[in-house]
Amino acid sequence: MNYVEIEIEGKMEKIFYQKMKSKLWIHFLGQTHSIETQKSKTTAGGKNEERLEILAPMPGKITKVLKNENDTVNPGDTLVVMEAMKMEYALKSDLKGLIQQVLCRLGDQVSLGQKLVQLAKDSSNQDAP
Amino acid sequence: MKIKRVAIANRGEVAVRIIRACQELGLETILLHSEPDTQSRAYRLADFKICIGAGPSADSYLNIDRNIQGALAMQADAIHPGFGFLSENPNFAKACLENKIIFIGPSPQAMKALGDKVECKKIARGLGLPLIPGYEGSDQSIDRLSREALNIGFPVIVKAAAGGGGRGMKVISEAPQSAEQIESAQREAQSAFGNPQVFLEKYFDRAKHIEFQVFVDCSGHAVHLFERECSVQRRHQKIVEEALSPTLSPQLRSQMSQAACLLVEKANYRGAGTVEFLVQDQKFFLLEVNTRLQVEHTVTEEVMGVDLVKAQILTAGLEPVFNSPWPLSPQGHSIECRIYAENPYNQGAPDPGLLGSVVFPEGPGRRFEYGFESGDEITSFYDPMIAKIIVWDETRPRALQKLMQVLKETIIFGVHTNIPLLKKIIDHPDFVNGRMTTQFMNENFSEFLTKPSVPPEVQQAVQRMAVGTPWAIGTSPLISANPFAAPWRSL
Repeated sequence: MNYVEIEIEGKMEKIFYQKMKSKLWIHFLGQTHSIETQKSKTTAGGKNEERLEILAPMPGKITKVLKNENDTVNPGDTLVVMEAMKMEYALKSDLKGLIQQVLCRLGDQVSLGQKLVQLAKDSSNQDAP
Repeated sequence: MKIKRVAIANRGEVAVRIIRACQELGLETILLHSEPDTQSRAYRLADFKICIGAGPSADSYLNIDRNIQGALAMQADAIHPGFGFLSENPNFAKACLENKIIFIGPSPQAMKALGDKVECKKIARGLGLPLIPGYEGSDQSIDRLSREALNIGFPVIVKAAAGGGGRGMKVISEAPQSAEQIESAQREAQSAFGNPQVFLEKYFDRAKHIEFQVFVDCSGHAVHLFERECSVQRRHQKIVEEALSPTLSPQLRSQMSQAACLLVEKANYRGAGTVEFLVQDQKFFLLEVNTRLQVEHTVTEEVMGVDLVKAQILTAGLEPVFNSPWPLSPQGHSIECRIYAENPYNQGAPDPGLLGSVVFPEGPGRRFEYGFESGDEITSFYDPMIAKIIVWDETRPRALQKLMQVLKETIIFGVHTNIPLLKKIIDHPDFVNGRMTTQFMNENFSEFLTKPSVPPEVQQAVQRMAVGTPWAIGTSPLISANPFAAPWRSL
């Protein structure tokens, strides 16, 4: 295991590290961290972001497709249910809008980051964030 | 002993655990594995291995015929089912018998009687054991189930009749959710167990999960090996388990252990089993019986000084077990935590991937059970549990201190793990005081953890080393690099 030593608050601390693909894994002071060394766009958006693309947060199987193209959706509506590692995950919309495209079908095995649903924002709605 | 060669119908850390027990008993081992599982520690340790199918469990680990065919082809005279997969499937136990293979576990009849939750309740009712109010009828329409839920009174829990391990379980807190939650539970039950049947139970909102380890030897003598407390659960899956329970009263302990032994004796059970209870307001209720080895059997082994897997194998071979003066008495305290490949900063979503460096800080009273090593892949076909960390010490506070230290020193690179969450759990006042209930996780950890930041100087120092830098080692006054082995054992 590779490590470097660095002085933290007057004490020499070991920092263990390993680079794996674009991620740098480090462990120091009893904690493990991962740092993305390249900017990547594979992960789903943050909490307050209104995502137009619903991506698979993990590899798994599609167990339910609850919306069809051109359906309207509201924040919190479940769009697709997937199963991964024997647990069910509901993928929800965080915006009010329209289903533009459903890119997965019941029973599909999907990979991490695969686009499952394309949403369009409800343009009739006045209050844009 | 009648058994010479044991087939293992499982994977991961439990497969390793069984292989080790067999090796110590002088038995040969055959690993029945799926296609992707050639990259695993069990594969490397087994004497013989045979591929029984593709990655998806239904094509391999859950397929009775393929397991039997594999065991027959390799001339196994016994099969150990581990836990999960086919371990509680009476048809599998029966298929073993029909093919003259010893099933290391109870008879299909005893398994059916206690493992089927509906059947088990009938027996327990006959013995006068306290049961949880519920509905277990055959009318599985959403309409009927919703009405029954209303009758029981919310909150109500929906469970898979053929289930275990938290799959196909949903809590309904109010009437309008009934239909959606019941449907979801039926779907999960169908997918995980091939049987959509569910039942309903009153849901306890401040209960402790306490279970008794029982063991019935080959002569039919049932004993209990005290209890484990597994109140720390998330999505109905146990995360932290310990023996003994920090708060169970001697009176309840005596009543519950008697009830547990009574139940397994009535069903003519053999080998290791677990009788699970909920305890609330100094009353206990039977939850279910697990007719197999449990994931958390390790903490019982630590405090009781026994080897449950060897005892299972010996019992199946009609040999006596527990060669010590009876009754055994517990010593010290043991805690286990399950390490899952999941991202604690992203809703605990599974985080499969290739394992980088893995370091477990060995020492007295520290036990590590793991199925995958550096370079192995945690695949999305299966449960995301990658290891179990078990500690033993003289008292609970000492065991907790040790566990915290071990969690801090454990290094797993390549996939995110729940270690940051585990450290917070065992540091929480309700856990430290032993007051935790099955609501502990919901009440205290419903918010997801925020990702800690890395100080820029640390990031720079490491990036210089790892990502490549024009600087030679040692030219920076702050940094010294040691290219030699780390003080901890590297895997």
